[in-house]
Amino acid sequence: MSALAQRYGSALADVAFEHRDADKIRKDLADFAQVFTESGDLHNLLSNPSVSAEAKKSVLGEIAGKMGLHQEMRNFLFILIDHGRTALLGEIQGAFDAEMNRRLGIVDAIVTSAHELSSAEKSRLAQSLERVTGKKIQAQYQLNPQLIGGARVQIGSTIYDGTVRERLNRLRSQLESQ
Amino acid sequence: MATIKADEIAKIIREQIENYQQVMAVEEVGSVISVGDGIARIHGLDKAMAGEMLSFPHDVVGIALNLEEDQVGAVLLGDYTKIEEGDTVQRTKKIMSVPVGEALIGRVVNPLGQPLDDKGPIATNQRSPIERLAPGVIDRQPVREPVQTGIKAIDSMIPIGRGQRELIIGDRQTGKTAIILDTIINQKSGDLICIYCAIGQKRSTVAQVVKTLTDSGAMEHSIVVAASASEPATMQYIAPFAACAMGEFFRDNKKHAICFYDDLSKHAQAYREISLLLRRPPGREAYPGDVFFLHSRLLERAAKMNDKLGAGSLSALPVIETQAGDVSAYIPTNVISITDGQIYLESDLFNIGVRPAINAGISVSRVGGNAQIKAMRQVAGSLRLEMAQYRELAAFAQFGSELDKATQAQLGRGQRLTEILKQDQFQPLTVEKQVLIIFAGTNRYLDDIPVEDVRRFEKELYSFMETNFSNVLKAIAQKKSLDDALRADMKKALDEFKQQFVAAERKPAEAAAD
Repeated sequence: MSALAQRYGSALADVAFEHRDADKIRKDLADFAQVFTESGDLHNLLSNPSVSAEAKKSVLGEIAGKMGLHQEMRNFLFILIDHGRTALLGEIQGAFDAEMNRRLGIVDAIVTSAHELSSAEKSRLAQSLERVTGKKIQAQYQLNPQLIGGARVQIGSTIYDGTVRERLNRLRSQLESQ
Repeated sequence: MATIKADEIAKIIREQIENYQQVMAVEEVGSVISVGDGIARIHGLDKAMAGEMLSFPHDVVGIALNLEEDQVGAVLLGDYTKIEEGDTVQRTKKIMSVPVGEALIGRVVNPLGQPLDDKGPIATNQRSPIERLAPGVIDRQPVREPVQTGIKAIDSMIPIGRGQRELIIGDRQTGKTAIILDTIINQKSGDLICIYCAIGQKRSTVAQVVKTLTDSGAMEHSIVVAASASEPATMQYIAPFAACAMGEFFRDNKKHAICFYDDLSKHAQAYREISLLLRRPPGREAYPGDVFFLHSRLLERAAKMNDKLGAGSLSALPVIETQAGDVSAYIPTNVISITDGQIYLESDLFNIGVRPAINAGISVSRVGGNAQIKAMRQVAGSLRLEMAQYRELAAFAQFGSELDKATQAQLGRGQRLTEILKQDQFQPLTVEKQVLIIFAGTNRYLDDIPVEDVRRFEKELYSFMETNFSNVLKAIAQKKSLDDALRADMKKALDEFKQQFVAAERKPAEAAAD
């Protein structure tokens, strides 16, 4: 994620909190980013430098009206056009989400386990992670049979590793160094 | 891998299984975005600290040097060709360290402290970080003991004290390394531990140095830290810091050590390479802005500790190679301003046979004078003065042909003093002999000896003194200062020897005349 996208993302987050419409803006941005990636025509139009900013804005204004986008969201898209940063839209959405999560005290966790976890196990895991991090956990679950047993949780750049594979690796390096 | 018995393995595994529930590994990781030229850019590792060691796959380690908003720039040590994009990088929460201790003495190691000689592993458990803060003001005291280099020109006019930083500067092929080697050899049977750090030199040169030191029995009090020209810039960059860390061990354990950094120009170039690859902005001569700080934090670690801390010392003799005598280039001026004095070597002097090719006029030592033994200070004061007057006159005398007697005498004495300051390589002299010959020179014993015979006079004087007046030499070494009685003894010995020398001279001349 580039520093540039983070700047736009955190600026938009500021606006969203000021207007107390965080959820609406978040949804709008996600919707629009989806439309932007799915519709080749819209993508071409917005990234084509020979189309004037005025023309882009008028098209965008209409789309915004049809999609029922928030006023601030529309303004934000206009600014992206003025600054010629529409290509960064996908990245900005990621940065915005991360920034919103940070402000709301939510962290993304990637949980990798050897076997499918039951929902009881999942909630227990989420609870203990929330206790460790002091934040709300938004978990993604993955399967990797090579871990043999246990689970590995990645939150940001920190890994909590309680898998059998990791224990075996550690045992190997311990034996090698002796 | 050391041999390990099967039941031991079983025991370890059993313990691990019993404690299985208790431990969970918590790691901080990032992933490699790009790698090349010994530099890796890493995403993640938000909490990595500057200078921290990072662990890459395939046992490669890196040092985090650039902490940016969305990435970390690290230099890699070891075989970085195996690292790929997307590889996982772990924090170690440790700073780069090297093994230190007595076990290193007599060894040749690389900047990571791994042996390069064939004497087996280094038997020490102690490690010390390569980057440490220099001792504070309160922890230090002024230098008071000399580093005897065994070179007359240096010990008399540019004395070096223990804890001092004295720069050796000169063009290529002017004998910079020769001065270092002589100094190391002269510490034989002394208490000063010598650490020679070769940065960016040819492997053959390093091998030559090691051989010279071994042959002269000087490896017994020396450590050689070598990062040769073929090693990555990263290794060359950490080499002097590693050598300094090894020296600090002795400084902090009430002992004396001296580090020779040969040379810091190459070190600055290695650092420039790393900095440019990390995309730090280039400054003058494309060196990064902190190249001054790089060298000052290294040289500041040389210190004389106060008595409460054991009065140990670490001296530093950095070397700078100039291009065509240009001492106003960036790196030479930097290091000149950091050090407590400099020894200038000139290729002109070298070529007319003044070896060591020290320019005594512009070489200075700002603090070493306090550390000189008193006898040397007594004789060297007038030597300095006479040499200064000689240089001034010699410049004038090149134009005029008719000179009055006094001027001629002054020039003659200058020539003879220049002659006695010459010295062959690997022939370090004890301080009492140095005092004696300088005493002879400044007290006009040499004025009527032909200039070309002065060196023979010197050589024969030493052997004469050793056989007939060894008590005088001993007295100088013990008293360390010249009183009237000792002066009279020295004069008596010199008179006697001169008579012999002149008589021996006349005989063959008379024989030829007959």
